[in-house]
Amino acid sequence: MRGASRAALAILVALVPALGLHAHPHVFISNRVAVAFEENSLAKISVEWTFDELFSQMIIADYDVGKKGSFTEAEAEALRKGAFDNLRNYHYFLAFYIGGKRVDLPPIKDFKPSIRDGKLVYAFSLPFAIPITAAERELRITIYDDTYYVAFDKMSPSDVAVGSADSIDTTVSIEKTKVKAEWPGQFMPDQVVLRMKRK
Amino acid sequence: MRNSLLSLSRRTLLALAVAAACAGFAGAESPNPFTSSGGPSRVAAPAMLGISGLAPFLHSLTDRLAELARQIREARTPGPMLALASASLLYGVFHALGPGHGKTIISTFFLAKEAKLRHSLIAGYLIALVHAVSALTIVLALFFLVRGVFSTGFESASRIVQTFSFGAIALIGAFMLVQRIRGREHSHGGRPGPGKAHDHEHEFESGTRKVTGRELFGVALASGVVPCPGASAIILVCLSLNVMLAGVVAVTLISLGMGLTVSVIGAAAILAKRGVLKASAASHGGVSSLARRIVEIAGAAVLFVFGLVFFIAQF
Repeated sequence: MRGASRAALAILVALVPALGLHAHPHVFISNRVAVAFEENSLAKISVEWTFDELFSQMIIADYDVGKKGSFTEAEAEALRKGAFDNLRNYHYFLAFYIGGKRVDLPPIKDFKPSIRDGKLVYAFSLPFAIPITAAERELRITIYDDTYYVAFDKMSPSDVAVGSADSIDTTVSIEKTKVKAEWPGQFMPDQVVLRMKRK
Repeated sequence: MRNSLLSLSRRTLLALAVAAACAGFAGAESPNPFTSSGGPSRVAAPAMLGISGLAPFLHSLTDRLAELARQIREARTPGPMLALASASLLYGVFHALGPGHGKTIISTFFLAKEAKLRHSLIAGYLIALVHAVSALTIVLALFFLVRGVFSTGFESASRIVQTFSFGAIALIGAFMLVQRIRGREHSHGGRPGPGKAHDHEHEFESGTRKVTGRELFGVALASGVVPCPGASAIILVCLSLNVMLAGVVAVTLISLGMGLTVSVIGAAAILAKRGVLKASAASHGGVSSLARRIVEIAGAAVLFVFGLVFFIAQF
């Protein structure tokens, strides 16, 4: 009995260093989101990522071949292939939940890389058609790289822009996630929460 | 019974203390989602709360490294260079708390061995040396010889080096596992008398248990050779700004910082092992060779399985 408990403990101690598998951030992103309405529905969500200077410099050195401080159309296209398209394997770090259910990611549109104050900026949008009725609808957005290679800055409500819509009431908040952690102690990012209803 | 319960709780506490020290400190590098091709690594686990708290600090430190490289280009005074050196050291220390960078291999290696605290210091600095040389070689080769898109080339090169690294880790683990298990069989073999068997076992075991310089270098090579993407990016930035010296300074200090963190993790493993053996000795009235064997075999086994799993996951 003694031997068994001692063995179990010793193995636990030995295994401990291998337990904390997780990826640490190499790339840092400040994130902004804009929501646009059309008539009585949510029509588009635009995302803008501003990268840390180190990753920015590396990508700019690779793709701003003309060294003009901006990307030509051909350079932007090469960048999209070399440093954006692979994100489809990471669902572009985005997950949308309507009424608690995860919805399919719409196709990514209007990808445009740019350079602002020496930093790399990616902008793209996702078309939606979420009807808004008199009953309140809750849209929750998670923006997170679960391999943690990329860390997104903590968001605040001012990072979310809501387009004007005369007939729709919208409240924006940043709330604790409702996605369940898979590991004890796992870092789970906050969610952007939009509550919308027809006036 | 009461006595064994007491010692059990003490050991549990100890195990928890080690868990607190090491949890979240180990793991493997994942590919860059932007510039690699393919999905996330099949073997990966999520970020832990403790590490994520460091993210804002690391973000500003990362920005600062690039900013300082630019300042060095503008004004060639010692000020920005010193600032770059200290920012790089900090970056190395905190960045290495993440996965990769040899923490798993170091801690399991020291569990499997009869190591002294200075061995963890030596290992940390050998890793720093290997890492600095490796990162500089890979970045310079990609920049001057290959001349393609750097970020894509770097991902491919890292993957190759990483596959080699995991393979080497699995081999070292396998070798040590065989050594530990054979050591046990040997002592079980001819057993003329209880006292003599003990001496005999000690004599045999101390030969393979002691840490040799060659082993330390092997461990450092296997774990330090994978270039850190952050360190490599700063070399690249310095190269493209034409301030190569700054790049060498930055990568050297980042590597030293990483080595320091790895040394501390290694020392924690050595102390944890001593603690466990001491606790088991206290409840037994003598160091139990069973407890020692269990810790050592478990250390070697984890090292082997870790290397093997990540090696296979590369394909």
